[in-house]
Amino acid sequence: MPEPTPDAVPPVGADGNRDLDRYAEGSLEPGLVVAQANLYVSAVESGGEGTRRVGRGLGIGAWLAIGWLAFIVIVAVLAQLGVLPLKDPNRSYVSCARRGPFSTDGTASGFLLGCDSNGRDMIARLAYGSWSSLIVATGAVLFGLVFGGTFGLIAGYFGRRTDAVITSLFNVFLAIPAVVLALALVAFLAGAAASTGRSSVDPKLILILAIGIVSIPLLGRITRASALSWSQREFVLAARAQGAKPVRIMLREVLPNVLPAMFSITLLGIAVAIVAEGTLSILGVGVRPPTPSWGNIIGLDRGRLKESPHIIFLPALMIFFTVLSLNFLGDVVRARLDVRESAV
Amino acid sequence: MAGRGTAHLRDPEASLLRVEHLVVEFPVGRTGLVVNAVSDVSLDILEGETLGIVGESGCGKSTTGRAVMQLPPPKSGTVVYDGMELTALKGEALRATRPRLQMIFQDPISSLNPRRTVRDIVREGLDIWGIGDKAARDAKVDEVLEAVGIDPANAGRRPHEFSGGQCQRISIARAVVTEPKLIICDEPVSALDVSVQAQILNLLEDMKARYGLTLVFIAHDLAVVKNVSDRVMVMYLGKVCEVAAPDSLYASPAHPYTAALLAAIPVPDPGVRPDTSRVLGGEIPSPMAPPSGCRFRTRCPRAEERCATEEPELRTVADGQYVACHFPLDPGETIDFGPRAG
Amino acid sequence: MTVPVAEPTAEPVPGAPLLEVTDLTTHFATPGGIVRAVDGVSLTLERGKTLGIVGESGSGKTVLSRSIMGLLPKRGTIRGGSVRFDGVELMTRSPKEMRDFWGARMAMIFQDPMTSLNPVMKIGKQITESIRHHLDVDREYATELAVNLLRSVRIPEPERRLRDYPHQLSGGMRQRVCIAVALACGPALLFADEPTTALDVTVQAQVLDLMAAQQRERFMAIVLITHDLGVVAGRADEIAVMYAGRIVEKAPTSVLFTQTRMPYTKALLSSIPKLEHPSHSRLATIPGRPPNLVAPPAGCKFAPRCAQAQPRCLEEDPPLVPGVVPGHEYRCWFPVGTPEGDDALARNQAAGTTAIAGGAA
Ligand SMILES: Nc1ncnc2c1ncn2[C@@H]1O[C@H](COP(=O)(O)OP(=O)(O)O)[C@@H](O)[C@H]1O
Ligand SMILES: Nc1ncnc2c1ncn2[C@@H]1O[C@H](COP(=O)(O)OP(=O)(O)O)[C@@H](O)[C@H]1O
Ligand code: SF4
Ligand SMILES: [Mg+2]
Ligand SMILES: [Mg+2]
Repeated sequence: MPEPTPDAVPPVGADGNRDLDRYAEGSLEPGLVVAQANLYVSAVESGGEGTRRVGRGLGIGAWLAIGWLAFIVIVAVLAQLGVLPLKDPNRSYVSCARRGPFSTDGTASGFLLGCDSNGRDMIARLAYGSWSSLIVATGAVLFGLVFGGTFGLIAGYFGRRTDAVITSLFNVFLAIPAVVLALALVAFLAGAAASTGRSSVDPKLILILAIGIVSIPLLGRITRASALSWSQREFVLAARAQGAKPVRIMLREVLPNVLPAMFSITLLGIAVAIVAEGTLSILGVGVRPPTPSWGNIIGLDRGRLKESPHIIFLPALMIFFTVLSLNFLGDVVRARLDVRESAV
Repeated sequence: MAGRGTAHLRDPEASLLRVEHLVVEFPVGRTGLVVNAVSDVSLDILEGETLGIVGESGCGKSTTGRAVMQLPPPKSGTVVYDGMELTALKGEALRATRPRLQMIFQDPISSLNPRRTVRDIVREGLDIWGIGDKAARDAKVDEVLEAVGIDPANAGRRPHEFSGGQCQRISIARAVVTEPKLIICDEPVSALDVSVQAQILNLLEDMKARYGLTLVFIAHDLAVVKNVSDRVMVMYLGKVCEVAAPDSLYASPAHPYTAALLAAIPVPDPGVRPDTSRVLGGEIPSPMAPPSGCRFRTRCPRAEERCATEEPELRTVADGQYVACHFPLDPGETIDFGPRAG
Repeated sequence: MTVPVAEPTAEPVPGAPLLEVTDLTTHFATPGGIVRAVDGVSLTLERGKTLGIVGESGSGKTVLSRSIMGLLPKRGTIRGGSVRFDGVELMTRSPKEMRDFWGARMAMIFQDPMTSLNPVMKIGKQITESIRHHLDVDREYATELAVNLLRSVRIPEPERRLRDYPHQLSGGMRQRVCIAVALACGPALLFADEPTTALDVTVQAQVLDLMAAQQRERFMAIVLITHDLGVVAGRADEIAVMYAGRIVEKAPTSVLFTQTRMPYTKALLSSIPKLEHPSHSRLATIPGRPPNLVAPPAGCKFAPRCAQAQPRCLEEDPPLVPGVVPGHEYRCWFPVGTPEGDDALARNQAAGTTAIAGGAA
């Protein structure tokens, strides 16, 4: 983030009071401020927490999350580049079909995590699947951010009627169950691609568009809320008083302040999109086999939960850890940016 | 006191800004009610003058200032600035007047974008209007920063690295950089310590002399307004109460509300015990349903029936002193707001 | 309207002042170093009296008051010295033990009433919960007390107001509700941290009058914190002027104004715009900014901004010395109104410079 680290030395002067009042404010969450005595206690007791939030250290949890995400991204990229010593994810070793992880029955060829129902190496499929899952989720969220962010910024800055129109559009979209909307979009987009004679369009692109469109209202609403509050600041009025045009004000005054909120929601959004890709793939409209993705590994063998649970659980664990890490990191980022904003 | 009228206006030819019958209303949700923020206010300013506007918060001072800037445009009334009727201008024509009419805000923190550097903030006006080349702009920024007492070497920093007083200096630099004639200062010192407040007040006087400025100075502290103004306008609930030169306003307030404002100012002298009987009681009425007649009558000890039925017009009570009150104070007279029952 | 005071607030220990603070220090450990926010403050306050604490933002007023009350976060805070309340040492008490003092025997109101009011709870509930936390009374009785309290802080139609949320009240009303909450259990000591800084002058006068009336009625001591000497002039019995975490001058109110010794106090006083001065009169200002509290200057902390600073001021830290009038103390080598001070000022003016600009450092 283009944000200078706050002064090492707390600024002296008019801002002195603010630091302290923030302390109080932070602890004065609704519900805590019951009686004055309780209020004081909460101010003191939560003080430790306040200091932790202000401190520089990220905490072990955040580092674990970063570590996991870095691992997944590196594996995905390297697998895609073909530099990892992996088996071919699409080659079937018929004799090994449905073999469980760490099984020792003649594993000369080493399927450490076992094979799927077609005898394909799970490790290879998971590694290559990371790429599909991540690219679809990230692409979808970036698509959603560009459009949702633009609409949200416009709604939040102009307010009034513009806001009313855009917000009700968002609400209409949000009222449709996300999976249904995504399914419909996939069908529609695939149909459109086929009818224009572009049936070779990468199904991942269709997924990115479908999930991205579904995410527009969600990301848009968050951008709008942040833009709305920043647009009421006096520096925005000052820019108008200087004759700046709306686009200039949105890009130079409002957007830089909204970006932190958008950044933390991006992380959460990618988590949601990974789950969405998984859901669509399980339903059979996701990444098209034989290309693996975490979702379609589960989807292909979804009937075999009882006999070979590892085929379902391994990709599910990948999704679980990745989503958990993203959510956790999103929260950490938001908390830290909140503190920074209050220091600004 | 709720008063209207134009008796206090001077020769239109000589004034830089002339506002007549300004009305600003804000709708309240979908209730059909409106906030009567400014109701029929007229004022004028001669070139080089400082007009002080005082009144409690919520009386419409900021709204008046912003309506002059057409941010947002008033519901009705005329705003003539430098010979141009601003209320008739739209779009580009209105935008073109911006660099010549500037504003400074109360909250030094909120009025500077936390994510831009001071140099960018101050240069923005020049960038928008494409004034000079890059070198000339930076030179101009350095010049005004120097003038407001900020070391240009620190211009690469962001606002949170500066104190409140310094932020207010930066705001002043931003306002003068396009060389406007008129600056509307909306409570520029209300958020500052007394010691810093004095620095900023002195700075405003310096800037006025250096750049030939005309100022509208809004504040809720009469002592501050008196210090900088050539003429003071007292407002209450969207109306004008009294207009006078600061010295006569202080020596002989004619409006009961002016007297109340004066009495409420804490005096830095332990010999002067605060006089509870001169403290204005009660609360400001809702601007959605302002009292009929004189809007001050609900809190005024002198109010009579006439005050409820007839709105007082601004009229002259002394040379250069105008009051909108049916029963103004005579010079030397004091007013007792009495102990008020809960 | 008298408000029932439900609990004896303090057992009067004969002779012991209500509050006795000795050499209180409060430092914060930050990544940039130790911030000496309060650096050796001593003061005493008798029952029923008002102590004004004045100083620019960042001079440590808020930290001082919270440190006395034991309200600062434990982590990163280094406290030293002694705070005796009613003869009882508070420094060694845990927050849990302090619970019996907060609200019941010492209370606080803040600059921004919204900080201490819960935005989503009706104000009636906020007051009654505070009462019921300390007093063993039923809800009806607590409500009755709350109505009386609101009436005593002159809120019109108190019964109806109990059902309002804080945002439905004006700023002045909210501050009065805060005062009502603070007074709910009849504290013996009230800290008011810039209670009127966010209010209009007319409302400020109302709120200050209200506090004074409540004080008389309850024989309560008040610590009135403000950056405006005008606010405390007519209301405090004694005034302490703070600068860079220390008391630089303390005196009975009239003495502080008539026999000002500390150049800082004088500078603060002369920077207030005065109504009786003609308009456009130039205000006296204090140049520069308060010192960095991590590495404050060696000598007098005010020396870099002081009109009469001499080379000595930059090297030696002046101690707090007593003035002629009992209770008057100040920290200055060349006090205002003394031959040395006048001499120092004349010398600086003749040279057109001060110690710092004169290159003594
Ligand atoms: N944008 C707005 N929407 C609705 N009401 C407003 C708006 N701006 C101001 N008001 C109302 O108009 C009245 C005057 O406000 P303002 O001009 O800000 O007063 P002042 O500057 O004197 O404190 C107040 O009652 C305020 O609540
Ligand atoms: N929790 C904290 N950590 C570090 N520094 C602090 C903290 N609280 C206050 N300070 C610093 O202590 C100094 C005194 O602050 P404060 O008591 O709020 O001043 P005042 O109330 O007089 O304006 C300021 O410089 C402020 O930045
Ligand atoms: S004269 Fe010296 S000791 Fe006194 S305040 Fe000034 S600098 Fe400090
Ligand atoms: Mg205003
Ligand atoms: Mg403070």
